[in-house]
Formats: sequence, C-alpha cells, structure tokens
Amino acid sequence: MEKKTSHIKIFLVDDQAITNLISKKLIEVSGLSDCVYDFICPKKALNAISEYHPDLILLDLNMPEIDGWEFIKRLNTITHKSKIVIVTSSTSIMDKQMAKKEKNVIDFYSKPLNLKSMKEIFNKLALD
Amino acid sequence: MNLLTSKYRITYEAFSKLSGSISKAFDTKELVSVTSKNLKYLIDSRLLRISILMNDDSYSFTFSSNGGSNIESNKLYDFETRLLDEKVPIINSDIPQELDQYIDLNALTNPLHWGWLFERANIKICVSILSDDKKLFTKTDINILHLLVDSFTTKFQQLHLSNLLLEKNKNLENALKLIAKKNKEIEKILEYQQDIISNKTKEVKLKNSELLEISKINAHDLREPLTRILGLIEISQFYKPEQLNDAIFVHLKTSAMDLDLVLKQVVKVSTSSINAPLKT
Repeated sequence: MEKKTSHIKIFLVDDQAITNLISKKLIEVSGLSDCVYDFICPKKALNAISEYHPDLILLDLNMPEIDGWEFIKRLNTITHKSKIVIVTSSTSIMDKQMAKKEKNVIDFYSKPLNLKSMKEIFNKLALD
Repeated sequence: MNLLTSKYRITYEAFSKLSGSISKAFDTKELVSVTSKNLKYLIDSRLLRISILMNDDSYSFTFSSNGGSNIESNKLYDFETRLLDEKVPIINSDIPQELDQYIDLNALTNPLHWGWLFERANIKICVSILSDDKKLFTKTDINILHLLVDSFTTKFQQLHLSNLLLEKNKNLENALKLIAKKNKEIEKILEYQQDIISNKTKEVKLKNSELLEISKINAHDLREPLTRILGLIEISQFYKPEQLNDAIFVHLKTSAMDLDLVLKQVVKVSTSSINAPLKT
C-alpha cells in the first residue's frame, strides 16, 4: 500500500539547529509532510522513537556524544519501523560504503539538501 | 736350544714388550722415553738415530747407550742428506763428527758407523747406528732394527697426525667462536636497524593519522557550516524580503563565523603537521 506522504512522520536528527531548520522548511514548502519533529540531541530522538514511531529519519553522522553510526546501532536494539536517510556534510566514500551495509538506511545524501533531493527521498520512501 | 736361538727369543720378547709400551704412549715424549728404556734389550749399539721425513719436515730422535735421548726438528746431518740422495747404505769406520755431541768418540774401541734409508708410503726414514767392540752391532740385528723402526715410526706418525688434528680442531673452534662473535655483531646491527624501521614506521603511522585527521576535518567540520550557508541560500527564496533578516541572515552570519573558525583551525593543523619533520 502506498503511503500518503502528507502524513508521514519525520524525525530530523542533526546537532545543528540551522540544518534542521533548512530541512524543515524544504519539507514544509514542498508539502511532503506536516508532521516533522526536529532533534539536536540524538539521545532525545532515540527516546522519542517508541512514542512517535517515525516513518523516516533524516540522520546526520557527525554529532558529539552519539554519532550517526551509534544512533543506528542503538536504534537496531529497539522495535521500530523507521527508514533512515543519512544526510551528512561528509563526502567520504568510506561513510557511503558503511551506509550500504545498514538494512534500514535507504539512501545517503551529502548536504545541503534542496527541494529536488527532498522530493527524491520521499519518492524513494513511498516505493520502499 | 743354541745361543743364537736364545738370543732371538729374548730379543723378540723384549720387542713384544716395547711394542706394547709404544702403542700405549700418549705423546712423543713418552714414545721416546719407553723406546730409550727398552732399547738396550733389543740392539747393542752406542747410538741409534732415527730421522723421519714427512711433508717436507724432518724429526730426528737420537738414543745413546747411556740412556740419554734427544729430539730435533729439521736438523739433518750431512750423512743423512747423502743417504737421502744416494740411497746407499753406510758401513764404515769414518765416524761423523756431529755424533760427538752425544757420546765421547775417543772412548770407543773400533767404532763402526751404519746407515740405511727406509722408504715407506709417504715417508722416508734415515736410520743410523754407532757401534764398537763393546757394543757390537751385527747384520743379524738388522731385522729387529727394522721392526723397531717401523713400530716407532708408525706410532710417531699416529701421534703427529693426532696433534695436527687437535691443532686443526682448535683452529676450527676459534673460527667457530669468531663466526659466533660476528653473528652477534650482525644480530646487533639487525636489531638496531629493526629499531630504526620500527620507529620510522611509528612516525609514518602518526603522520598518516594526522593526515587522516586533517582529511576528516575537511570532510565534516569544514563542509558543515558551508552546507548550512548553501542550505540557507536555497530556502531564502521561500521567505518574504522582510522575513529574511530573522529567518536567514542571522543564521547566515552564525554559519559564516563557524566556517571562518574551522578554516582557521584547518590551516593551523595542516601547516604544523606538514612542516613538522619526521623524527630520526
């Protein structure tokens, strides 16, 4: 069954509030979802998973205390339905290769996102 | 049993005894000593001299009837040199003066000098005897003289070869010690080189990790504020002009300052790392 994107629950997890603000604005203007939660603290995002059951997590890699890889590792220890798209400022091929090994990671983007890339993410999620 | 038979029997018994003692001798000194002690039971003579020539060297042994003996190396007398050249046995009353040092020639009655060259495999032996009326050597004694000389010479050869072998073994031992010493030196050099390689490897690893760190800073930290700036520019089109200041510019300023900070850090780390020489 195809998911209706406007009701998709999205978690934005990035220690930079400005990045979350940009992502939120792109989702807002594209009308892809009106259900966006942003976290600058990955730990808080993890705690909220069980409550909100997000469909999609836009996840940064380079974060203090809990980085993106540790976030995925901890996420895998709990029951969830979330798909992950890594959105990172890194251009490292090594990060990209590591991302392919994670079953819940459906895509990998280098920042900055724009309207086009945001729509691609939602299309991919709809098809997944 | 006549007198001659008795003499032979006694002589051969004496030779058997001497032969046994000779075979037990553990060095040349003992060989000469046992020969000297038993000689009088075998041969009647004033002097017996045996010169053995082996591998361009000569070893002379002189035994006198008074029990004295003498050992010399590479000192052949003229009559011995002649014997070697001409191979003609000597029997005459012309006594070589060289023998004067072993016995008082004037005290002899009708002295007679005998000389032979015995040739054996790889060696030549000059045998000479000085006899007189009181110590009368006869042709019948030549057989026992042959036995004595062969027995003496064989034992001397055996002892001489043993000595050579011991000497060679000693040389070999010294050579082995030298090799062991050199091996230790080589091991030390190798260890030293291993240390240098190990230290250099550590340095290179450290340098690599520093470079990796710089690369990581470039990949994450440097691009991060830049992507914010680019993202803010991307979304600025969705704001009204009067909204731009609060929604975009204030964040642009923060991000640009962050970018400036990271740039300064990158330049500092890169410069210090690249300029730092490898420690030796």
